[in-house]
Amino acid sequence: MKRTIPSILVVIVLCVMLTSCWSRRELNELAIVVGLGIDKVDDRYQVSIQLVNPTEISARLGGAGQSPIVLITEKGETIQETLHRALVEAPRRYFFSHLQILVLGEELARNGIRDVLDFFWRDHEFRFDYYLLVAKNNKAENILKVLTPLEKLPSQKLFSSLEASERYWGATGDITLDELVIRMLGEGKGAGLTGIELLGDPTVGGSRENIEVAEPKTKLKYSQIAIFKEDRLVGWLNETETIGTKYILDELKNTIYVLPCPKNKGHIAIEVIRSNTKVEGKIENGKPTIHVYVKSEQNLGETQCEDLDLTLPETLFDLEKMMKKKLGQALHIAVDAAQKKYKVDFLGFGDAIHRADPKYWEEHRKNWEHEFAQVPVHLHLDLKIYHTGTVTDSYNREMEKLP
Amino acid sequence: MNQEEKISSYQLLLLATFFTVGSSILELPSTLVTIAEQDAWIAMLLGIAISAIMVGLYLLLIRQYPGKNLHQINEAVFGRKIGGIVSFYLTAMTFFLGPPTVIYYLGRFLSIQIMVETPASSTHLLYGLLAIFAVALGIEVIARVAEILFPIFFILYLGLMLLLIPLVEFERLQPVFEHDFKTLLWASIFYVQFSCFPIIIMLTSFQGKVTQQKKAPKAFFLGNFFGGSILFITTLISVLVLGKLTALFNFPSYVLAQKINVGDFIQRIEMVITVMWFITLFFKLVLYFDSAVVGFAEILKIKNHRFLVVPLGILIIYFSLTNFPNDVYQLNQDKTTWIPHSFFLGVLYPIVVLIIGFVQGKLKEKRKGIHRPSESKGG
Repeated sequence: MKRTIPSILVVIVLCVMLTSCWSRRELNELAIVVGLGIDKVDDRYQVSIQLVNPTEISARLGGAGQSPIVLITEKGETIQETLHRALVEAPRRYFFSHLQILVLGEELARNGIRDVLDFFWRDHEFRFDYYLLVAKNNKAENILKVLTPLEKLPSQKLFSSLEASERYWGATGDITLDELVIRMLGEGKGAGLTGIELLGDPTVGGSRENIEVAEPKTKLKYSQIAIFKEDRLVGWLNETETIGTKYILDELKNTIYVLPCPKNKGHIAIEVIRSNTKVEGKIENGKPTIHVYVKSEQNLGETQCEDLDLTLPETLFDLEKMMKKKLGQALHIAVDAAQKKYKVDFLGFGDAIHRADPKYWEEHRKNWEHEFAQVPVHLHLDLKIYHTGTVTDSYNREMEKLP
Repeated sequence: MNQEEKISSYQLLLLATFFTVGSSILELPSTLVTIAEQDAWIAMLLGIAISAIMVGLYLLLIRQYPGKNLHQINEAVFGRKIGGIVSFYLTAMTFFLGPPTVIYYLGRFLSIQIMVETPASSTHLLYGLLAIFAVALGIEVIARVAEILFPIFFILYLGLMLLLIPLVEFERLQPVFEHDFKTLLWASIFYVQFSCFPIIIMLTSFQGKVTQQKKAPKAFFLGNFFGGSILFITTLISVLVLGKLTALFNFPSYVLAQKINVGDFIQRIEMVITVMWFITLFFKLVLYFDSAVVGFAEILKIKNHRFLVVPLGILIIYFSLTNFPNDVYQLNQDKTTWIPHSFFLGVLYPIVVLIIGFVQGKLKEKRKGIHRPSESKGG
C-alpha cells in the first residue's frame, strides 16, 4: 500500500509526458506533397509544389469536380527558404515524406544541380524513395501542372509508369537521389536521369478538360535519358543508346529487340527475359582495357516472317547469331555515345579500372577524362533464345500452305 | 542489501555486449567509411582483434584481483592516497566525458531525425531520469533488464540485416585492401576507443557480484567479442548497400533501415533501428553512470552509494546540455579529447597496474621466501 500511490503517480506522469504531443502533426493539418519541381528563373530558384487535394481523391466522396492537385510556385535563393515562403499560399503545412517525384527543369540541369540537391540530402523529412526526373526542353513547373487520367495524382502516375517502363521496356531509369549521388561521386563522375517530355499545350493540360476526354490533349511521356557530367546536363541519349547503357550498367530487366526477317519483309520481336552484365577492367601492357561480359536469356515473342521455319533448331541458332550481332551493335552505340559523343564516363568504366588495379588508378585518375575516350572495350556476349511462346510455328506459314 | 547484489554470468555477457554495441551501431560505419572507404570492414576486423587482446589484458586484472572492483584494485596497488587520486581521476574524467555524451547522442539523433521540434532538454531529461531510476535500483535490476531486452534487440537486429540482403552489391567491396595498414589501424581506433577501452570501467560494476565467479572472465570476453561482431556485420552491410555514401550520413544505419522495401509491403521501418539504439544506448549510459556512482562512493568512503545517484544524475543531465555548444563540437571531441582519455583508461592504466601488481607480487614472494625460514624456526 505504501508503494501503490507513488507508483500510480509515476504512471500518470509518464502518461502525460510520453504521449508525444509535443510536435504532433495531425493528418488534417498537413498538405501532402507528392511532386516537387525546381527551375532556375533569373538566377533564382523557382520551386513548384504539387499538393494532394484530399477531398478529390477520396474514393467515398467521389469529389466535387475540383482538380485533384494544387500547384504552388514560389521563388527564392535557397530551396528551404522558398519552400517555407510558399506556405503563405498554402492552407496547411507541407509534409514531404510521401514525395513521389522531383522534377528538375532542363535549364537548371544544364547549370548544375548540386546546390539544389543538398537540401534534399540534408532534410530529415525527405526519404530516398522518390525518383528524379529532368523536364526535357521544358520547365519543371509545366510538367507538374498536367492532369492525368487513370491515376488522379499526376505524380503518382509518373511514379508508377516509370516503374512499369523500367521493368518492361528498359529505356528509362528509375534513379533515386542516393543512386544519383553514388554515381556522381563514382570514378567516372557521370550519371543519367530520365527525361520527361510534355506533349501538347501546358495550359490545356492543367485544366480539368484534359482528363474529361478519352485521349488527353496534353500528355506526359518519358523520353530519353539526360547525361550529366559531374552535376551538369551535357546531352540526351536516344532510345538505342539508353538500352545499351542500361545493359552495360546491368540495370536492364526486360526489353524487346526487333530483328528483320532473314529474307522476306517483316520483323521478329525478341524479348529479353533476364540479363546479367559484368564489367571488368584489366591493365594489359600498361594500358587499361574494359571487358564487358553479358549473359542474356531471351524468348521469341512475335514473328511476321514467312520464311522462318521455327520447327528447325537451326533457325533458333541462326536467330541467336543475329541477336548477338544486334546486341553487340547496341552496346557499341552506347559505348560510342559515352566515349565519343559526350566524353563522359557514365558507364562506370572508371570504377571498373579502380576495382581492378587501385595502384594504376591512383596514378592515372587525373587523366581519366582523356584516357577514357581511347579505352578499348571488348564485348563477350553469351545469349540464348529458349522459348518460342505458346506455339512453335506461326499460323502465318500454315496459311501459306493452303491451296 | 547492497552487498548481496548478484548477477549471472549470462547477464554479464549481455551487459558487455550492449556496452560494446552502444552508440556505435548508428554512427560507427560512417566514421570507418570516411577513413577507410570500402575497406572499413577490414578495419573493423582489426578493431575486434585489438579489443580481444585488450580485453584479455583486463581479464588478467580480474584474475590477479578476484572480486575487487577497479577502485579497490587501485588501493591495493597504489596505496590509499595515490590510489585515491588515480581512482578520482578515472572516475571524474569518465563521468564528465562518458554519460553526458551518451545522452547528447540520443538527443542529437532525436532532434535531427525524428522529433525535430521537441527541444533537446526534454529528451535529455527523460532519458536521464530513466538512467537515475535504473542505477538507483542497482546492477542486479539492470542486468535483468538486459536479459529481457536482449532478445528484442537481437531479433530486430537480425531482421533488419536479413531484409537488407537483397540490396547488397558485392562490387562495392572492391578494390579490397586499397588502403594501407596505417589507415586501417587509424580507422579501427574509432571502434576500440568507444567499445573496447572504456569497457574496463565495467569492472567497477560487476566485480564480486557474479554468481559463478569462474565463468565471469569468459562471459566478459565473449560479450565484447559478440558486440564487436554485431558492429562488424553492420559495417559490412553498410558498405555493401550504401558504399561510399555511408560516409556522408550522420546515421548510416538509419538510412539503411529507410532503404528496406520488400514488395512495397515491409517498408518505412526505420523506427526499428531507433528502438535498437534506445536499448543499446540505455545500457551504455547506465553502465557508465553506475561505475561513476560506485567509484565516487568508494573514493568518499560512503557505504550506501545509492545516496549519490540523484545528485550525480542531475549533474549528468546538466552536463549533457552544457558540454557541447553544437554537434560538430561534439563530433570533434570524439576525434580529439576522447582518444587520449580512452587510451589512458584502457591501455596505459591497466598495463601500469599489471606491472606494479606483478612486481609487488614478486617482492612479496621474496619477502615470504626470506621470512619463511625464520618463521619455521620460531615454529
